[in-house]
Amino acid sequence: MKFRGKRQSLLEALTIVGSVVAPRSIKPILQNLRLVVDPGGATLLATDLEVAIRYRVELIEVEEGGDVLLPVQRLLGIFREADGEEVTFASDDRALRISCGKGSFKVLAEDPDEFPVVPSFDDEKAFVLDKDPFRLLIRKTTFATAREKTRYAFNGVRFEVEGDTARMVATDGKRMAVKSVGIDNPQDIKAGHIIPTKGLQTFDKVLTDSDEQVRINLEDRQVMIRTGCAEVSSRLVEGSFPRYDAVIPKNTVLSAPFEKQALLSALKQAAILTNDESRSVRLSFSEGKLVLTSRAMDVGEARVELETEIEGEAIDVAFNPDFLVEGIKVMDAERLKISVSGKDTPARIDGEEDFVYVVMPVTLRSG
Amino acid sequence: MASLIRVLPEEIANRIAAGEVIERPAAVLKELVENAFDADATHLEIDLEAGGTRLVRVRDDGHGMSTDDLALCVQSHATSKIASIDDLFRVASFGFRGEALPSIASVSETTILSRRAEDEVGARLQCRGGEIEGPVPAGGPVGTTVEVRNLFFNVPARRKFLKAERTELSQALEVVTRLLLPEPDVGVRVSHNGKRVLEIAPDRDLRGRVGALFGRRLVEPLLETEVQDGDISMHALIGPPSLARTNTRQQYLFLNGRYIKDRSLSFAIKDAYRGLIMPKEHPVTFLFIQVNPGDVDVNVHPTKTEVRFRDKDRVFGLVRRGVRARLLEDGADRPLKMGSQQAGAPATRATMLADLERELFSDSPTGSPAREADGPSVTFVPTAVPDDQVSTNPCKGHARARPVPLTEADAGMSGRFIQIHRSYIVVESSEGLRIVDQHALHERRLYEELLRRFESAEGEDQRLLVPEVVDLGAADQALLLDKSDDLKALGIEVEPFGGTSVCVQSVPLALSRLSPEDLVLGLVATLQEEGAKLDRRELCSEVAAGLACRAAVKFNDSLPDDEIAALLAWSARNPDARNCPHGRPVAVSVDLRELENQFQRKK
Repeated sequence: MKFRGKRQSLLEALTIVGSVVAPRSIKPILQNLRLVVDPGGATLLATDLEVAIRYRVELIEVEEGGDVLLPVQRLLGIFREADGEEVTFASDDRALRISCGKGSFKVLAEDPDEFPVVPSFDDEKAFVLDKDPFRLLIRKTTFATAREKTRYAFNGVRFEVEGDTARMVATDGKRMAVKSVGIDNPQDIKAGHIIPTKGLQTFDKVLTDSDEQVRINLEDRQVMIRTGCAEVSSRLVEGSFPRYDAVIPKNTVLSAPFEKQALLSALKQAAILTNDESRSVRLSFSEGKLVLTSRAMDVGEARVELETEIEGEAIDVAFNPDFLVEGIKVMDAERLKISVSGKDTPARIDGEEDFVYVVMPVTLRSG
Repeated sequence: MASLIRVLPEEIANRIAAGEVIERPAAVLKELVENAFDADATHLEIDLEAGGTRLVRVRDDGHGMSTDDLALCVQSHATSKIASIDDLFRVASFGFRGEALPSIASVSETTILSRRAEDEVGARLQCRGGEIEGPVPAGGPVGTTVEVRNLFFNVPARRKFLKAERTELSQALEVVTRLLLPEPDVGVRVSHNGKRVLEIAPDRDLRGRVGALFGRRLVEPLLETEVQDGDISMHALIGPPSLARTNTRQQYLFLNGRYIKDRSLSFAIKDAYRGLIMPKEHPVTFLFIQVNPGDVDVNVHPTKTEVRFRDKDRVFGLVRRGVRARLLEDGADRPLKMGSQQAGAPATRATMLADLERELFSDSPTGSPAREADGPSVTFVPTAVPDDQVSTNPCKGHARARPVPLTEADAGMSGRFIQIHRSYIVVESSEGLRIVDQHALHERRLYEELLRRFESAEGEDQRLLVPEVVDLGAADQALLLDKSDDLKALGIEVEPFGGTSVCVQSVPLALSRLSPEDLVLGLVATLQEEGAKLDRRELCSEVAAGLACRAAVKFNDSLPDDEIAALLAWSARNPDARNCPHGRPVAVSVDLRELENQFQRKK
C-alpha cells in the first residue's frame, strides 16, 4: 500500500468514521478502522456492531492499493496534531509508515480478515428522499429520545413512511416531538421502524452539503442510507412505540401566542434558579400575560413576566424548563403557540409547519 | 372431705418464685452484686466455680447487716428498701422486691456472713434448700459475704436447663459488665475455678471504665456527650459510624444506673445514626440516662430490664437529638489510610471472651489465666477482631476511612477539582486534598431530597406522557400496590394495570434520571427485603435510600464541571452529609503532612 492524500479531507473522514467506534468495546478489534485503498481512492470502514459506516475519500495519488486495520484514536491524533497539507502512507512490513509535515509515524497494523463484514448498500430496494427534509426529520426529533438506557423503544426514533408523508416521532415518556415531511413515494413504500439514536446521529453527520438526495433502504432488521461519499447502516430497535396521535392533546383549555425568542429567554431566566432535584418552572397564564416563577430550596426564586393574549381560561401549570427549551429551540418559526389541556395533562407547542411538540407537566404536591 | 385447694407451703412458693428470677448462676450473681451495691460496697471479690453452678461467692466491703437483719433477709418479701406501696414508685436502689435472697436460698446451699463496722462480732447464717440455721456469731471482715453453692441441687428440672460451663461463665461475666459499667468507682476481682479472670480497679470516669471492660482500642475512638432536658439527662459514649457492628452486642443502655432494654430507645439510637451507617449495621453505644425515679416504672418484670417511662417521647427525643448532635459535631479530618498503615480494629467483648475461654478451658495446663495487663487495672488484653466481627462494607474494595465534611472554603477554592477515572472527584483543600466518591455524594444528596419531600409531603412530580407499564407478577404487584399510598407521598404514583402489571403515572422530579421501570423494580426489591416490617417512616427511609442509589451518578459516568461544582457546593452546605445512606463515606482526605511523610520530606 502506498498513497498520498490531503490531511484535511482525511481528518474529516476520520472524525466521522471515528464517531461510530465505541470508546470502550468488549471486542478490541472494533477500536480499529479498516482502510481499503484502490486506484480510485480510499474507503474507511468502522462499526460498533450496531451502526456501521463506509466512507469514501479521494486521494491525490495511489501508487499501490491495500487493505489494513488501524487504530482509530491514534490515527485521529496524528491527523489532528501534525502539520502539513499532504499525508503519505506507505506499507512497511506489518506496519504503516505515515509521513505528515515534519512528523513521521510508524503505526502497527492488524489483519483485516479479523474485522466484521460491513454491509454494503442494496440499491434495488431503495427509495430516494431529498436530503434537507430527511435532515429536518432527524434534527427535530432525535433530541427528545430517552437518555437512560432501559426502555429500548425510547432510545430510538420511530420512522414512518406512508403515502406522500415521511414522519419521525421521538419520546422519552415525558415529552414527544413529531415531525412530518412530504415525499415523493412512487413505489408506495409503507414502513414503520425504530432507529436508534446513534444511528440517526451518524446519518446526520454524513448528510453533507454536496449531496441533494439521500437513498434509504429499510429492511426488517436494519436501515441503510447512502449519500455521495458514505453508506451508513444501523440496526433497528425492537419494541412497541406509543401511538403519537393518541398522545397529542386534541382539546385544550387555554392557548397563548409568543415570540419564540422572548419565550426562550424567559424560560432560561426562570430556569436559572432551579436545581437538579427541583427542576420546574411554573407558568401562570392570566389575562394579558404569562408569569413564569421558579423556586428551589437552597437556591432562590425567580419571576419573569411576558405579555400575551390568552385564549381560554387562566391556569397555572408547571414544567421541566429543559423540556420546553429543547423543544422550542428546534422550531423554525418566529411565533409559536402554547396550548394547555390541564395541570396534569399534556400541553402542546405549535409553530413550525408539520411539527408538534408535546410536554407533560410537573405537578406540585404540598403538605 | 378435705379441700383440694391448699395454700402452698412457703418453701414451695419460694422455689417456684425462684424460677422466675433465678434461672441461672448469672442471675444469682446479679442479685448478690446489686445487694452489695446497695450496701455501698467499693470493692467486690467474686468467686465462681463450674460456671457458677457449683459456687457463686460475692464478698463486699459494704456496711454489712446486723444479726437481726441477717435473720430477716432470707424471708420472703423482706426488704430494707420499701416500706409502703408508695415507695414502690420511687425506687432508686437495686434490689427491692424482697424476693431475691429467699428465692436463692430456697434452691441452693447458701451461707451468709456479715459484720457491721460498729459490731465487734459478725454473724453467720446458713440455709440449705430453705431450711435456715442461725444466725450464729461469727468472725469476719466488715461487709457481707454471700456464698451460694450447688444451685438447683433440689430442683432437678431446673438443673437440666443449665448450659455448658463456658456459656454460664460468659453469662456471668456479661452480668458483671452490665453492673460494673455504671459504677466506675467500684473495683472488682473475678475468679473462676481458682483462676483470676477479671480484675478492675476503681476507675476515674466512665471512659476509663469502658476501657477497662472493653479494651483501650474500642474506647479510644468513642465520642463522649452529656445532654440534659429538664430532669432528664444523658451521659453517653458513642461509636463513630465507622465502628458500626453487625449485631447489637455492644449497645449498652442504662437507666438510673440500671441496665435496661428498651425497644423505643433502641430505635432512637438507630434513628440518630440514620444515614450514617447501613440499615443493617448497629453502632457501638454506651448510654447512661437519668430520670426522676418517680417518672419511671421499673417494676414491670422481675428481671427489671424492662421499664415504663412516664414521658417516653421526651426521653426518646433527648437520646435521638443528643446522639445525633454529637455525631454531626464530629467532623474532624481523618487521613486516608495509606500503604502499611493498617488501623487496628477495636476488640469486641465477644472476642475477649472467646480468648478468655480458650485459656480457661484449654487442655494445656500451662496457660496462665492472668496475662500481662493492658493497663494497670485490667488483667486481660483485648486482641484484634477477626474480620467477621467487623461489619463488612457492601461496596467492595473501599477502605473504611473516616468520612470528612467538605467546607465551603474547600469547595470554593478557586474551583480546583478534577474528576478522575470518571469516579472520584479530587478537590484541593486547605489541609491537603480530598477525594470525593461521586456516586456516594450524589446518592446522599438524592436521599436527603427524597426524605425531605416525604417528611414535608411537598415536592414536584414529573407526570408521564406515556405511562410506563411494568409486569411484576402477582406477589410483587400486591406488595407494591399495598404501599401505594405511602409511595404517593414520595411522588411515585402506581396503579394496577390489568393482570399482574402496574402502571406508573408519575415519578419524583428528583428521580428523573431513573427510568420508571427501574424505579418500580427498585421499589419492589426494597419492599421484598424490608417492606412488611417497616412503618411508614422507616419504609420511606429505605425506599429513599434504595432509589437514591439507583438514580445517582455511577462510577464511569463522566460529569460536567458545573455538575461537579453543584455537588461540591451542596456538600459544603450540608457538612453532616458524610456518608451515603448505606454508610459508605462520601469523602476521604489526605493531609499534606501525610504526603510529606510519604515522600520522606519530614521525619
